Amino acid sequence: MRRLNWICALFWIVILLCAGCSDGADGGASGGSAGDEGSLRVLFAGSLIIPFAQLEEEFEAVHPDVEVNMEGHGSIQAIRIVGDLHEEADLVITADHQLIPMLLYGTKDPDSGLPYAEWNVIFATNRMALAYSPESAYADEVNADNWIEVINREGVRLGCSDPRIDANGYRVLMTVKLAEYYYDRPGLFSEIFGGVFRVPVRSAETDTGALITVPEILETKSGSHIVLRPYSVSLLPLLKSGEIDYAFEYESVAKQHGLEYISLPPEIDLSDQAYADTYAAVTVKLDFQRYASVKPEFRGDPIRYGATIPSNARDPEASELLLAFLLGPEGQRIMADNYQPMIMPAPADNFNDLPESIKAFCTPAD
Amino acid sequence: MFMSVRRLLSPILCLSAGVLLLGGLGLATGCSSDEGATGEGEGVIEVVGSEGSKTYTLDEIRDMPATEGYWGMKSSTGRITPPVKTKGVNLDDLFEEVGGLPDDQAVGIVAKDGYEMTVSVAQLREGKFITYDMVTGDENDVDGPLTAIVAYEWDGQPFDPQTDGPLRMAIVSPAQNQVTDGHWSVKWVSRVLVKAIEQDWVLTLTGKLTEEMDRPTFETGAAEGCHGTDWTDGEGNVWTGIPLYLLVGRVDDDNVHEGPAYNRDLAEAGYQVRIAAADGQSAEIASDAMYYNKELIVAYKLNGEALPDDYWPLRLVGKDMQESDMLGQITQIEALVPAE
Repeated sequence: MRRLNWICALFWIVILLCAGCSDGADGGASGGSAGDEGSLRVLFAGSLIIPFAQLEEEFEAVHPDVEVNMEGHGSIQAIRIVGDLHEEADLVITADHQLIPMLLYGTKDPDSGLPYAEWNVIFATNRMALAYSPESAYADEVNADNWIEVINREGVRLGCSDPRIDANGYRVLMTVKLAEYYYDRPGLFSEIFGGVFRVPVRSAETDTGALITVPEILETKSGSHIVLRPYSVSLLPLLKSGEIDYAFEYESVAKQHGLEYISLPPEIDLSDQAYADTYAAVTVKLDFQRYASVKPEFRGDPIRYGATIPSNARDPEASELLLAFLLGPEGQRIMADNYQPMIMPAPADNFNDLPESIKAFCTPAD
Repeated sequence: MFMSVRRLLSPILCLSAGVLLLGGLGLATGCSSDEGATGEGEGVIEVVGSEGSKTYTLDEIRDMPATEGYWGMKSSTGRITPPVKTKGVNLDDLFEEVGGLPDDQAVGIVAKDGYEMTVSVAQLREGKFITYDMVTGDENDVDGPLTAIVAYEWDGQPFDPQTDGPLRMAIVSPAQNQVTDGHWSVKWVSRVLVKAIEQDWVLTLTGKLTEEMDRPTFETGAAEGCHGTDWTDGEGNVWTGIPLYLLVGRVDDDNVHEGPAYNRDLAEAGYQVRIAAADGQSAEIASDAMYYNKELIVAYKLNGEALPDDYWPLRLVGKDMQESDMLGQITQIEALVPAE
């Protein structure tokens, strides 16, 4: 049964990626458009690959005149395709809603002079979890009480996504630092991440909390117990093959892929608004300026997915249809089917700027 | 439809195709340099090394020793560009005339629009790149060296000048058995440069004055022949840094660095020096303990290397100190000098 889950999950990954095969994000040139002309280009957080496969299929069944071209990326990367590379996209969805105002509100489309975005809908949430497979080392004994000790054991390999690219990556660093506080384990961050990178990831205490600094060069040393991949979903096949034993994943993704997982306490899983102040005690700073438009500093915050229709959308009307479909009963059902929690009505930043058809599913954000 | 398609799939097909998900980014862009070249034709790439910079024309690049191998890539959406014979100049050869590639540094590969990928020289030398099977997209391990080149020829032809530019970064292997993440394959490479690999830091010195001392300033002061001082611990480890009293001397009065900047009168009168670390810990040292004490230093190197993570960037070490008092991760030194 577990194998079947894997097969199904991988199939939907394939379908989505094939749909995105014509994108220009392959070392491609900046500017212009990418994706199939005439189709709706959706750039979305890779953690939504499974539900968005179903979303695409069901939407196209209802709207046969609209072809949807889904492209899953790391959230920073997804948004950078519009904000930095100035490529056209019809819908942008990130696993961190803060990326949209950070990267698109203040960046203008050179062709129109308009900001790439002026609103975003905060429509979904998630929880950080520690995923593993039945074949993982110590799978028969790991639990919510001993996971820290287990992932630090000799020979255990831990997968993490790249915090320079993927929202999940910087959230892993936050979760581990928060665990250090929550479990009163001084030095835990250093135990897990110390000495494994050629240029260290460092954590320092400041007046406002912990500041974790990620260097420009993030290369693991030979024999490191940390295995780094660009995106959190890139770690899934490694978990399955036994290349790694554990990986920090979103809980929805672990469920979708039939993985075993450890639920983490709300104080550290970045899910609960009630602990927003706790999460805010950790900040991750990228110690370089790779992306012209990225302010490379992320403060701990509850996981909230954001969606917007960029001002350079090729087909804004169809984009609205798709976003409304996502936020409406069909989308809610699809997301629930795939363990992806939603927030309804969805708080919207700059509510008054929303398209009318979207307002019905939203409420003004605080 | 959802379920029916699932049922139609064979496990092998699913598993083979599913791994197409894996992959790097693939957002590399760029164009050509405008700076004057050293030969005929338009300069296409500027090479900035430790001993200067030089701009080369495409013909000059072609005249350099060539490295050839198979290059292919996997885009962020899983699309695979199968490997084909690709020719170019490896980075060691490219930097030869501007000082070479130091082992402890990094290389920035910059495209026309400013997009930049940075990789350590150590990784280049090790050829340590994630590789994928050219058919399935699965991660694989390949034998033989992987070499980073600035390529000018692909499948026997120049790159498309409209889409790729004259030069493109490529990771090549001797055999046609792998592809690498697309983000390494920077298009329109216009500049490559040697970069420092260290992280910067700031030490805050406060007293009568306040100084934000950055890493280069500290390291200049800690140079041999300046204020650099070694102290060897009981296990034979050599710690290198600057005596604490000299750092305090920069802020204890209005004299930062002229003559004897350390105010002896104040020190003899007595005050405390509070040292704070990034992890929130702190320690205090009495002025008489550091009085012209060259065996009480703020160290930034251990046995010639940057300090390990637990102590980085600075650690107070010295004779007659307990190990527990040797505070690491120092961010601030505060001389509690009496107000005038």
